[in-house]
Amino acid sequence: MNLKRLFHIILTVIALSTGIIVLLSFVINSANLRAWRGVLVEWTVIVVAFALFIGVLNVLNVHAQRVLKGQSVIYSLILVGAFSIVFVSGILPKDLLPSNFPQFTGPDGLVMDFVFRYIQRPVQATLFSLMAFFIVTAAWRAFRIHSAASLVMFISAILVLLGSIYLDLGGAWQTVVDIKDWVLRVPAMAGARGILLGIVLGTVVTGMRLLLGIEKPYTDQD
Amino acid sequence: MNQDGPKDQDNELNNLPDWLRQMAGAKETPDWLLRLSLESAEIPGAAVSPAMQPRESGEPALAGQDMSDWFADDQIEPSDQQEQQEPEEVPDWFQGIADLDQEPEAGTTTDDATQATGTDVFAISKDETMPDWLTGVSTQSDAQESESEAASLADQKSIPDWLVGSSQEKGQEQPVFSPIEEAVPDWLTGTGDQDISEELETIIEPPDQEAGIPSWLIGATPTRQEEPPVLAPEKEAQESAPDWLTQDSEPEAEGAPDWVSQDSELEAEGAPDWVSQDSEPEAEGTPDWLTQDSEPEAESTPDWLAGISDQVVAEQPEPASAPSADESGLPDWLLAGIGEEEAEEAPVFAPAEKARDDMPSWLAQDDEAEAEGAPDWLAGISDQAETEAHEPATASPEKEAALPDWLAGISDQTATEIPEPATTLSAEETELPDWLTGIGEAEVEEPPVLASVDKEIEKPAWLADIDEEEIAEPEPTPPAPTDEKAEQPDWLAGIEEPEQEGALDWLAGIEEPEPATAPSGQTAGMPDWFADIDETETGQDLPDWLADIDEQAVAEEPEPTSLSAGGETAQQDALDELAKAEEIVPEADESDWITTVGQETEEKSVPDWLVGVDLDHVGEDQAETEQIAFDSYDQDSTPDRLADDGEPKDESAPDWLQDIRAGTEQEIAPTQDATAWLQDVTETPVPQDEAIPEIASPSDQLPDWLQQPGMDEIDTGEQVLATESEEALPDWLDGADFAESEVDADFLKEVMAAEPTTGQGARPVETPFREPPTKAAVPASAATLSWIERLRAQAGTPIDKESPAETSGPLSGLRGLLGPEPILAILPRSEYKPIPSMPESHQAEAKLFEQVLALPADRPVAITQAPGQLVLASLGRWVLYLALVVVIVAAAFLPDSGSLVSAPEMAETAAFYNTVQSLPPESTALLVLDYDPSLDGELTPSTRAIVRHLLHNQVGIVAVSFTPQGVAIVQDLFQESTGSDSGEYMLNLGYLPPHPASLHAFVGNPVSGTTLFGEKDPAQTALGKKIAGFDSLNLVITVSGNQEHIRWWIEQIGSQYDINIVSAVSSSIAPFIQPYYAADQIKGLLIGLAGAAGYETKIAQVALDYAQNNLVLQAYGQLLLVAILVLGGITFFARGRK
Repeated sequence: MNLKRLFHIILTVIALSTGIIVLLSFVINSANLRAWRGVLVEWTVIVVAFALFIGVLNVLNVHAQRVLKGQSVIYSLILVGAFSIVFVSGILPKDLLPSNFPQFTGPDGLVMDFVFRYIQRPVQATLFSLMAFFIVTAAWRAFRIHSAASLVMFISAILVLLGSIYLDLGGAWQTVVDIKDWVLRVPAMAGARGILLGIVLGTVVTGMRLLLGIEKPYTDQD
Repeated sequence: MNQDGPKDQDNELNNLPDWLRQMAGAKETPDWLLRLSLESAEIPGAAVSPAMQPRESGEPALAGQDMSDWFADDQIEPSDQQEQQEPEEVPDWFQGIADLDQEPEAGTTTDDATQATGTDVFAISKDETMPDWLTGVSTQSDAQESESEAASLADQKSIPDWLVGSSQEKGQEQPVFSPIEEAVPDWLTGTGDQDISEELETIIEPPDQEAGIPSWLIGATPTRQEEPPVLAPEKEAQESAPDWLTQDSEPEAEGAPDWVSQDSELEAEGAPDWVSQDSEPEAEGTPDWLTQDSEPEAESTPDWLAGISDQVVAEQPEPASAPSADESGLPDWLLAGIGEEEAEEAPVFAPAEKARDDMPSWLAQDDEAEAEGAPDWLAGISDQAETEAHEPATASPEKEAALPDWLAGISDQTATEIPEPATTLSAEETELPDWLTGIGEAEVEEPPVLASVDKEIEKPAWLADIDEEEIAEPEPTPPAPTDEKAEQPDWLAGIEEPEQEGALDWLAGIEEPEPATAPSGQTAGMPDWFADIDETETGQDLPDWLADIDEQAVAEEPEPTSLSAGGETAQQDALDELAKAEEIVPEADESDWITTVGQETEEKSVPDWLVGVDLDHVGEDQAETEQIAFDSYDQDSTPDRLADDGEPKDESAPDWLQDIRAGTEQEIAPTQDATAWLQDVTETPVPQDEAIPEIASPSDQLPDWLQQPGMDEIDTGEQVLATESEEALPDWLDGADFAESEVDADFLKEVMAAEPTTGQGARPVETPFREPPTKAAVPASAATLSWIERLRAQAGTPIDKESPAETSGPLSGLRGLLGPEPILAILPRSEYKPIPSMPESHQAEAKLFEQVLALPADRPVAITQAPGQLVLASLGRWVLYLALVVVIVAAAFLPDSGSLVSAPEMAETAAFYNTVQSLPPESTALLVLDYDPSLDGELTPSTRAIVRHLLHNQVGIVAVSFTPQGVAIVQDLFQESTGSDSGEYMLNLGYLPPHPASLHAFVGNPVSGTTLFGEKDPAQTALGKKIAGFDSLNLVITVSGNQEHIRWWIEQIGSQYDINIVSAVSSSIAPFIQPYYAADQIKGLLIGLAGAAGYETKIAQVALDYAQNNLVLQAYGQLLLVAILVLGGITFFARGRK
């Protein structure tokens, strides 16, 4: 038995035992199992956080290399600069700064608040709002009736859009709203449930394969 | 015959050499040897010797320990009836022979010879002057004599007088043969003893017991029931009995070969046909030759014996032909035996003394062997000699019925020689040829001597001459062949000498091809009886004894395929052992006659007929050989040695031989293309354990190696061998690389010599003796090998010396053959998969696809649009964008624009409100923000309304965010609501990585982390102090634009903890969350901006309208979108669906 095979066996034992403990903690009402589950979850969070930290370092490395190589220097400099500002301002202890600038540092400092409040939030909101224009253009180009199915889709889209507009037009409009609600509650929900069931079944199967050792993502073997 | 047999037989078998033991089981044992053994076993012992007295049933025969197994095995235990067939009578001629032999040849008187018939005879019986093969007659007696005097006496008594005399004389005069004891084959030794002893018994047989019938034929007489009168001690008789006789009565001996055991087993399933058939009438375990002997009349007579009798009766009605004329027709080997004296004295038979003088010992024994299995012609000779010597008498009908014709003649002789009123003289007597008649006359002239003193008179004159020559010229041949020839019997020497001298006539006739239909003139030099044989139709090509062999074989063996495998294996084993014997068995152990027949071959320890045979091939292909023999049996019942021998070399050959050959040619035409046994031996090896249809004919009991090669050797001789070219090789040998093959060169030469038809080169130019084989005449076995013929390299085909040669199998040594197909080259055969029926539409599409593929590719065409079209295309998009902006701006700034839009009242919103509203004051709710600023416009109104509602109800809010931006959103809302970042009812726990593990971690200890704003230790905050665990929370409110995260909460937390969950989701994921709401897994649901607006409506006391205002703008924008969709559809229809 070589070391590699022994290593694989150890990994498999750890993975299976962890999965079984977590699974049993959901099935069996036991404080000990839940405690063990909590320990295992904390280890997972630590590992994930560390992975996130490694990912941040990797991004910096990549863009640093680009700056050094002169490839997309501006964008890389912006990324590296923004990261440095936020990271330093957020992690820099308030005690080390002059008395006039303690509010600028830390997670709740002014720097962090400014960046989030006046840069990140408006930018993201603006980008998402542009979706309205894209949807309008797509509606002009995409919703063309080529067949009966496209006609049904076209009609459905129109009804849902109209039903989502809560115009105070009396009972007639309410009918449109009701149609919209029916569409969402019956056909749309049916499709959504089907998708969800598929997801759940896939999750169960994947969990079983992991517990049975059929799949070993923790090793280099499939 | 004896019951004590097994004990003796075991010893005997153990002492036998293996190769002979194997040969015993082999079926190839020549008939004449088989019969010799049988007859010897059945010949009654001499009355004068206790050892020779007839054995009673259950009494062991002579313990011929030196006897070869195969011969012993041939002595299959006869049936009970046969066991009771004790030697009772001896033909007179036998007595005469015995007396004649006992008569002193040089210096010995008749009285001495007469006394020699007594106990002293066998002191001399081991005389060395005897030919080796006959010396074995006395060998056993000698061995026993050395042990004790009593044993010596018994041995002496077991030898007939005549043989004693001959041996004594020869021993004195011909010491050359002194070492014969070692060279004498055991089987012959035992045979000789037994033969002699039982002949003597027969001679002295009382007339009342089957008068004139030899004991070995007594079994054929149905009336024979009496025990022989001779009262010799049984033990001595047993000791003096040869092994093969002992084994006759001991079929179950351990050492016995299979076929013997099977024969002994009644109704043995595996018994060969010939055994089964033989055993039917009497005992099932009895072999044919035993059965036939025991059968009455012609049925009980062996074929070859019956043939002789028939021939004598039917074809030789004129016995008075002059012997001088016969001499010209006699073969040289006979002439050599007869000698000048014989020729001169003929037809008058030599006087007793003269005949005795002329009688060579080996012929004397041959005479004995007549009764014991000697060749038919010798039997016939003796018969005729005796029958002519006596007047015709009224034969006893019982005797006549019980005896075959030729034996009837013997019995007649006995009757005449032994004073007996019922002296039988069969009608055959008159049919004897002159030269044989002379023998009879000689006997007639001195009947008293024959009867009482000397049996020498019974010996034919020509035989006596032979003997005389032997005596006078103990070493007639040059000593070069020396020992071998010296050890040869004379008759074999006579065969060889003509070849050296230029061939005897009859041999020359054999060598020279003659047409099958020889002119009658050719028979001029033949004796009458031979001429008569020639003229007959039925056996026109064969002497009767051969024809009868054929007939009887066919008649008695209708099922040749039922041969037991045991017999075959025994035969094959015999050949294998025989092949081994070439290397293992020393020459001294080999039978002399085999050794001498071998002449001056390199392998002097092997007889010639074995020299030419590749023993390996023989051993390997024995079964095939048998198969071939069987296949050709229908056409050829004659022995192969007669049928397949080489072409006649001389026209002067006796007619009977020519006729034999001619008849054989016709009958064995299928096998004439090649020496069958040789071809088969080398062509196709057959698994040894494979059962092969057995040769059913008794004539086929002659092994092929005895039938064919020996005759080939005799017929062809070295001249033929020298003249044979490679073209004479069988076709299957043409392409062989003999230099590298394992085939023995001598063997191939033999094949060439034996090949009668395929020769195209140096074969003698004379008219070919045999016609080229027709295709139909090809034996079945050869036809089955046609595939090999196809593989055979054609003549003249250059042989690729570099190509690998076959190392095994029938194609061994051949080059340039196609090798077997490499297994890797054989592709796996694809499995058949039926094509499922394809719809027509698919077929049409497939055809269309094929057409498209078949079309040449179109060149890319640059789409050129007018600048105006491009402007219009981009202008339309900009128009849409502008329209959207205009609508939204108009809705925002136009007065009373909101009056048209009202917040809907949704059940989900109401449930959400009710759930939050149900929280008691001072309770704690967990607010989870799971959205980023992109969804800020849709979800933040919900979050704000929720926070204000909770704060309004004095419900503590512990906020945690799955997004980094969510922390800030919550913090802004807290400040917006209360004016502070934290407080008694607010606790922002910060960011929680979106993962189930972190979710569980948070649930496990909600306030273990650090706060982002305010307190470093959340547990030390006012609200944190209230939260001891997840159970301290009263409600989970998730505001999310990610359905998966909502499911985590629902599935991971909602199912584990007794806590209500409500969600505020974006409109895009609402359809995926509504099922959970419908399943009551979540207690309330705010869907998008409309839900937030409706929720604000619920919490009117809070006076919020963010959602309501945004909802109006959203409504106008959606109206614009609907308008665009409708216009787009209409435009599409207007353009004709382009």
